[in-house]
Amino acid sequence: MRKRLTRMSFLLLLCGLLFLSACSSNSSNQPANEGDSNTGTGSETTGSGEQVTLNGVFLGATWGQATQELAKEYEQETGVKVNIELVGRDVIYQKLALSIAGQANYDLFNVDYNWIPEFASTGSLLQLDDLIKEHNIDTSKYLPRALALTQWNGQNGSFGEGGPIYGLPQTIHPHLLWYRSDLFADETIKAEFKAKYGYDLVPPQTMDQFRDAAEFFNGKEYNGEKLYGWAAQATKGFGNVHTWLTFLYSNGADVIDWNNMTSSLSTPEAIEATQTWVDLLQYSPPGINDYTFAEVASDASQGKLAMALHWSWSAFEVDDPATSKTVGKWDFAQTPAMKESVPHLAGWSIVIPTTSKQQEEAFKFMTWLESKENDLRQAQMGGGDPVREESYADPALTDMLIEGTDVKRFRRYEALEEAMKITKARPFFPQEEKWESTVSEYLSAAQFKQMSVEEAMKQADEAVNKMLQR
Amino acid sequence: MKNFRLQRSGPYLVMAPGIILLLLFSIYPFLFLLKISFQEYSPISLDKPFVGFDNYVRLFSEHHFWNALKITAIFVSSSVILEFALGLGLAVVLNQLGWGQRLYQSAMLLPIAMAPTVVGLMFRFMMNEQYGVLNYFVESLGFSRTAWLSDPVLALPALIFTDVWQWTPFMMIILLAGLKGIPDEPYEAAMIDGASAWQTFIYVTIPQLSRIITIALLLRTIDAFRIYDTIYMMTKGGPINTTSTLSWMVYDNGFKFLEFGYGAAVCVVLLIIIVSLLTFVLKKVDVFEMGGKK
Repeated sequence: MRKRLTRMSFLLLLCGLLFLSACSSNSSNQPANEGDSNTGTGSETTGSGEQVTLNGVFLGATWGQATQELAKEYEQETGVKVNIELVGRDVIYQKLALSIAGQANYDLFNVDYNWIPEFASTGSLLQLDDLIKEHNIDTSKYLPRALALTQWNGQNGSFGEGGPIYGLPQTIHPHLLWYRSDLFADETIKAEFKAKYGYDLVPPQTMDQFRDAAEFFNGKEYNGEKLYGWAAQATKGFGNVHTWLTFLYSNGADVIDWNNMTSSLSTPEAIEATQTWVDLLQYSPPGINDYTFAEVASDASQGKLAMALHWSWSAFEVDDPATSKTVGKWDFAQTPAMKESVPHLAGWSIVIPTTSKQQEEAFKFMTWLESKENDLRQAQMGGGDPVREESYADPALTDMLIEGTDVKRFRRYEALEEAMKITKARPFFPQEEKWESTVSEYLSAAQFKQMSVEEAMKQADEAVNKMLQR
Repeated sequence: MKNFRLQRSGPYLVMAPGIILLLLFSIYPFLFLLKISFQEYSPISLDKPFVGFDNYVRLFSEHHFWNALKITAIFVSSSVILEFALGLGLAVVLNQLGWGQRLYQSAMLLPIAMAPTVVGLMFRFMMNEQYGVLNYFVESLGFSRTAWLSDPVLALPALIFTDVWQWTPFMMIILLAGLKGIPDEPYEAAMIDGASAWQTFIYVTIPQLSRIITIALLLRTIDAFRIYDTIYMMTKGGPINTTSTLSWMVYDNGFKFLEFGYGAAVCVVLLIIIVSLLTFVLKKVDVFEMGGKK
């Protein structure tokens, strides 16, 4: 009996330890300096005269760092302290969810736009329309497709159809075609290309041209460096989905039949686009199926790639003289068209959770951060690409040179501005994050040739439909 | 009389804080976990309806679960067996080492002191196809570069290798402590009886170590079931889903898709598996009766 009791206690203790450790992760949902937080009254100080403190969680990317810097200036200007935590994408999502559930004292979140329908559908994000009106914020100054990322009218697949505004865009980065201008301008290379393909080497506008250029450059040596045809993120998770969407959209396909809410991944257009993308991976560096955006930027800056389909924002990495061998050698154009060029749009916005106790103060900081002046300053500080239309024509940015060179730092803006007229977001509906993960798995199977593209898309359809029915 | 009462209640009083902590931080979370496994529970939704056994039915009907169960079984069994074999070998060698024993011991403990996230990141870099140091050696031996982490066949073995690297010293240190606790008499008797080194190891060392071996295997098995950090840093469950274990599935569903109810159901099933395994092992080997008392 005693032995059994001892055994049971031992088991209980082990189970306890197991669950204690399981529950201990992600338990730090409170702001670092929660003690500083006060209940705001819409002014610099609370009713009791204490300093107002806002707590925000931003992506640990360049625009998050710029926000952290600008927050210091905001405190000097207004007396409102803004604590900005910089974390990874997954952590933001978890913090946002858990802070809403636990009523934690966070006032601002930097969010990947595909989360907006999910959190808006549960009433977890503050609708900003009244505050926008009250504070006379002119939202028409924002790039229409950038603003659309923050809107959700409650309808599935409604990107660009308007609706209540749940945040302000902070940065956008549509896919652009990156190409090495020095390679494309090299007379020997041009002659060689023409001899092989029978037409002039130009930055590819069609997918056929892109395939030819990728094949041509792949394995070629240039200035002692072995080149690969092209690269784009392809890792399972969201990388492969993001690249694949550019192919899919450009072939006139959509991922869901929004009228019937059924998956449409095995349509002839979707299969053709997927097959094209998978086939083109043979002209990419080894290990491409594990590439995140960091590997693409790194290979581009080390001179290993002739082309890339990559985020516009990431261009700062190839122009950094401290780390890049290809400063000023990359140029940018629209992604190649299968039927038409429709780049996938990425972007990050700023939202206020309904649990924030200082919503108006948070809104004021957000509008200050995304004002005309600070949209420019974020870009100058190396943050994300601007979200206001006027910034793209501002000489403060367009005339800016890379230090020590005569190369324009923001030469991508022309292509970027054009891309913002044709770009398309990921599917706008509350289950998007799960949808992406589901599709990613089947794309991965096709990439690794574990399934044919047709089979993978068929199975992805079934899995997505199952998910949509739940 | 008063002294007698105090003497009787003494142990309970001493244990009380521990029991309270256990109730607060283990039993309550467990009961909560059990409850939400029967709910459609999202932290951002006000509506958290009870759905009976729906989460469990869904779990057992999903190929992800069976795949994760298979991956977990392969990972746990391979890594624990390898760690045990290597750990025992190292412990025996170290136990016989005269000079430098402490130095080797300390050096070998370094991997345990490292956070699994750091180890994961370190191995991710080392196993990188293009610039990883592992491929440098592979190439210098005349073989071609290998995509250790992005090859569906190699990713799980790479993960097992990393786990073995980090946790073999843990196995070694426990077994070494056990070896040091074995008295000399049985060895002297074996020597007088003319037993060979191998016979001494099999018939004297192993039986004397059996309880320590059981404890070491139990602790490592429980820990191996929970692997998450290393997967997060190295493969994120991929490529495809070849390194997606049950604990990764808990993360995926719970924290990535905010399906806490479904994630809790996976947790409960994982717990049942571990507890069943523990009960089975503890029934076979009585680790509490040290010294062979019955």
